Amino acid sequence: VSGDLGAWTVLIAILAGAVRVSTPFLFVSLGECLTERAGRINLGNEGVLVFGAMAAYVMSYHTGSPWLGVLAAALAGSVLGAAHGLVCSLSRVNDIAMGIAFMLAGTGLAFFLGKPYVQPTAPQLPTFPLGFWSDLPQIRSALEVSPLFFLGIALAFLLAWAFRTTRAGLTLRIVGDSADAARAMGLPIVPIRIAATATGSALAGIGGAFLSLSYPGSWNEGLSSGQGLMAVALVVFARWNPLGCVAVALLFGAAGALGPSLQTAGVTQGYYLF
Amino acid sequence: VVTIDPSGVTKIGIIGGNLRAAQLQGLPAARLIVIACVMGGACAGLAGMIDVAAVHGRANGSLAAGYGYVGILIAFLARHNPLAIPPMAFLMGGIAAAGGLLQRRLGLPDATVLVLQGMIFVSILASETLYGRLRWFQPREMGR
Repeated sequence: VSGDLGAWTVLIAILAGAVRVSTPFLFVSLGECLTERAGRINLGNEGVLVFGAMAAYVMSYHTGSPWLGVLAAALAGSVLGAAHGLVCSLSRVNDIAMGIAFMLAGTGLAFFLGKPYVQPTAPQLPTFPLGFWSDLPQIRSALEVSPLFFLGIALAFLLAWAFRTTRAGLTLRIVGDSADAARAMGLPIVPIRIAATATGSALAGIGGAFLSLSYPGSWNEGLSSGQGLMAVALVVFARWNPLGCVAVALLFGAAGALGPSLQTAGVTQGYYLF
Repeated sequence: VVTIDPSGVTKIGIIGGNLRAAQLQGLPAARLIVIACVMGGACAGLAGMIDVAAVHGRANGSLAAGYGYVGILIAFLARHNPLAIPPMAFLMGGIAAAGGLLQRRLGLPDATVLVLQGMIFVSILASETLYGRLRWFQPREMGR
């Protein structure tokens, strides 16, 4: 249809990939950022991601409304997160080990319950066609941006603002940075941490909903390739800053898209390095 | 085959137990931590070798089946006691190996094993909190 775009194909693919691949990274890392700011680490977000993807797909398939699917994913995520938060509030329970246990249990439950839904197709989330100004089909398809991407970016700004200026954000940071100070101030540390873990996992569940309802947009057992775990590392890379999470998620999304796009451009060696 | 995480020799145990005390004793903490990581990585690498050489007989993309994560949890379940690791690893390996039978006989999906393992891990790790509270959980020696 169009002329030879040459090296532009790679750039367009990277742009599209940065927007698409980064969205689950963005949501999981924002959720994990919230959890870690409150002083817990929830490695179970990998399980929540897969479970949220399954919940969203099943809900979207049965009700026909993908937005209800996103809601279901957030609810399922918050339930799993609250369970992790509650169990880790018991004394002598290690939150890292429990996170890995939840990761196994979450992915296992998702595969177990989602087995009958691998075949049917569920209604997908709509996208904003931001490429309307262009005649090139590549650019048009690259700029089909999901509303969840904008929701994630708005959420990052909201979280950054809330951490810096609101009372709730300050309380959360006290609980995370110095449990002794929080105890001295009479803050309810355990409920705050449970709430932060549940909210963080709800966000991770929305990231899972993006996986099954937008891109790649299907439900199967190879859906998440460790994105939830990588997002936990991204939070550290972003220095626990929500706006940093956006930049880092975009960077890793672009890096993830680099491999396939180089393959289409004819590079046959070393693409798996990304 | 299940990855076994070594919990280390005495000096490394001291560092893990109390870093400040180990430094006061004059132990080269940083170097020992690096050595422990190297040894742990070597053990995990050996597990990969066994998986390729003895179990599958070939190396392909579907090789890594989450052994690493289960291995980490087995180290936790064994309460970081090297002697308790082989029975635990045997138990988990047995559950994983039972997956094929579950699929054939009962018609359950293959994720059943993952659910079972996850539930076992969650409940055992959570019951860590009962340690020292119930009568039959009393620690025989202090200093854990």
